[in-house]
Amino acid sequence: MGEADKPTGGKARDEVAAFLADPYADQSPGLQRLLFSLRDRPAAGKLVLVEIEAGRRWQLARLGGRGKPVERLEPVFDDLREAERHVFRLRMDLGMGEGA
Amino acid sequence: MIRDPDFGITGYTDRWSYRPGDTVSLHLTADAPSMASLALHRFRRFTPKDGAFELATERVEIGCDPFAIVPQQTRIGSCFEAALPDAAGLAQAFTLAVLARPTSIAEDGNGLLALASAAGALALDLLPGGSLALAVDGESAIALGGALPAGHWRALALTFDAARQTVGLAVHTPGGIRAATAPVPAGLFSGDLALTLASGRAPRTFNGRLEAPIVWRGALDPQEAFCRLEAFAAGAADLGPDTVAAWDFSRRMDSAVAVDAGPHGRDGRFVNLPTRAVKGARWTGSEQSFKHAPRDYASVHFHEDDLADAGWARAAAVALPETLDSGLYFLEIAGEAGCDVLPIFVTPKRRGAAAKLAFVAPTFTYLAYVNDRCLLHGANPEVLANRLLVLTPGDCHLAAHPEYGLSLYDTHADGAGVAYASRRRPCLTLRHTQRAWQGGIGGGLWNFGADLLILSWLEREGLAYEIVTDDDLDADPAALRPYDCVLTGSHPEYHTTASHDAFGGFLAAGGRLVYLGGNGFYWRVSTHPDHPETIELRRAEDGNRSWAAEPGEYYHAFDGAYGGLWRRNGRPPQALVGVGYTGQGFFRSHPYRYGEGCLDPRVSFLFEEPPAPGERLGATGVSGGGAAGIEIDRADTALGTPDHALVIASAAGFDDTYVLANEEVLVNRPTVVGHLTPLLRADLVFFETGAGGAVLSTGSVAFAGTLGDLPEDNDAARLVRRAVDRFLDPAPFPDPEAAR
Repeated sequence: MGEADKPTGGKARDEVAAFLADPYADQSPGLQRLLFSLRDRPAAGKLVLVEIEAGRRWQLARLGGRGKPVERLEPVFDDLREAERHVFRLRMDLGMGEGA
Repeated sequence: MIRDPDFGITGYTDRWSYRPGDTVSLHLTADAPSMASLALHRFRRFTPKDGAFELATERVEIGCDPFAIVPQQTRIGSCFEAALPDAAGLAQAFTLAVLARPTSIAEDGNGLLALASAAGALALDLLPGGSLALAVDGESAIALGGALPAGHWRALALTFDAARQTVGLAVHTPGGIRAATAPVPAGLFSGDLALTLASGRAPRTFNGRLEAPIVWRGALDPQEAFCRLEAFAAGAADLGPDTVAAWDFSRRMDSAVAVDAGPHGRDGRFVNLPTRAVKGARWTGSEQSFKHAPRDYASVHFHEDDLADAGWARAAAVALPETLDSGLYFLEIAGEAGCDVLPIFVTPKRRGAAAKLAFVAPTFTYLAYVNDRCLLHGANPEVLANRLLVLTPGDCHLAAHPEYGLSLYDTHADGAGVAYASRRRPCLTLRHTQRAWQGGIGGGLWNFGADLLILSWLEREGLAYEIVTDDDLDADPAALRPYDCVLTGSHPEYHTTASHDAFGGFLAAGGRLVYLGGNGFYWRVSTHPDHPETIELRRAEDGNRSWAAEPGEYYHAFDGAYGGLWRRNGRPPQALVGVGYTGQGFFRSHPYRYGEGCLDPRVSFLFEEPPAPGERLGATGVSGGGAAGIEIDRADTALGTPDHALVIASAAGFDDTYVLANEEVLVNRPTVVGHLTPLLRADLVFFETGAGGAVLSTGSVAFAGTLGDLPEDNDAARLVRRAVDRFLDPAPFPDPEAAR
């Protein structure tokens, strides 16, 4: 994400709030760019979900990379939107959305 | 009630397509020896239920006793093997020379060659930094640091002299010949010798290219060996009377046999199908095909993760009843170790005898995607999915078992694209429980899973149908002729020349086709004469590619065909089915909106009452929430859509996660996404073929997600049902000339 794309101040708060309100909504162009930036990362070490009960429960997990098993983490979710929110917060806390 | 696979037992069948009376060979493994039983089920329904899908089947009695499952090992990695008989006299002295170009070197090394006899053995490994390590009877003998770095061709010579009790290793480097010798015990070799190239003592096989391996009697001076190796690589006919074997990798490119060009015919064989028809040490760029310049393509590319046949022992065999109806079946293997469920297609004994409607199972496309690991370590697809990646138990099992091999979407450990895919291995993505990020928000059904919805719809409608697979079409391009109407799957993307011809020939003879998918008839593949369960793909020149074939390597080894897009081979999909791939997005799907074309009397058979232009079609679905989306096709007369084709409905205005197909972009620009380009649309098209037949094309992968959606009665399903009813009616469609 380029310098000009970094959400700041009230704009950033608005975009975070919009995503948390509905992760699957049609997002604003600014928020969509932020999401592309958060998601377009190398696979190794990436947070993913593992479906542990079809259509009902999903567990947070981390990809190990080529030839490596998937590492199961906590927590377990019963709502995919809540899982999206959880990972979004983790990534934002790590500053990934700021071009880190 | 059929169980879900838990992969405590894992297996594969010898083929995916059988006829009644055929025997299915089951190859199974488990963590510990255990007993299991087998049940055969016929597919009936696959319906959305509480956020998941419910599979309904009918059990077929086959009378199979419980059987034992023994843990199996998978030998992954390709190599070359040849037997050198005692009569060759190699136990006294020999020289082996070869050209080698590593492409990557593992931390724990890669095997380069091995020679073994009943008495002793030597092995040469490649270590990080390009160092060579020769071991004699397991003991280190010679080390040449940095002699064979990745990315460079080098000539190697290995000499053995029993009289002097020495072994020598020499490498021709730009700085001159680097050589070393070491003592060996007396009688190191006796009797027959087994030669292996691209495999040694290291746990992994070789990543890289080898060319022109040649063996002479006697221990030659390295300089002489390199001169004679160069002459052989250049195509010299006279290899010398002391030649024991000289394998010319430019010959029989379509075979797993490595031809001995020497006087004794000591052919070798390639194990696990290394990639052939690749550029060799002599390639200059002046020719692009091995057929035009064989000496430029006398190289073979080995990979530590090639896999053509897992080689598991047969755990059980089951004879399919002679009276079995054509359809999709599941083999449920269950025991104390767990469960696996393997789908098979049963094709009719005599095509067209039980039904005039056929579903073509796109087995080549299923195979291309088998064990797709892009979500595990490849091009990160979360940005394409526009949501978190959700892994299935099958995906996790795949991650834990790299020895089950790669898909045509993956890259090898050395970064080269995976050009070959085989079914003789656990194919974990071919399960009814598999979901994929490509399937859009909602059900996550993709390929085989999405096609279950089409079959479920056929069962729900009570339409009699038979199944034909891509493999059948490849073997017999006339296989569709007995049918009046043919349905495709949701994503019939990969076709051989013969399977493509089968569709074209069917339409030319007056057949009626409902193309129920998107991005169909896109990539060209070939089948291997010696390994019919394998296909080859070159991601050449253009198209959406998860890897790109190297320049100069666009021609298939299996049949010499020019690989890549069918569009680049003079067969754009629009010329066959009226629409062709235009773009993709994997998050949300949309409804079509009817256009003026829906009012044309030529398509009145599709409606009880003609809809009004602007009305929506397919506003629900389990593949992204609408009938149009995921991978979409558009009509385009410049690409072959018949002038008289009617665009009945279109979906446009996609969100910015949709991107235009690469082949539509000459100069990249920021308007290749979403609603900014008019080319990003899904067109629902009808046209008459001129031979009394007709085509209805949906141009959308997501369409199957609406066909199989609840409620059972939906507008998209009604439209397809009316099309099928008319297409089964023998009354010819009028000549399109008359329609103009």
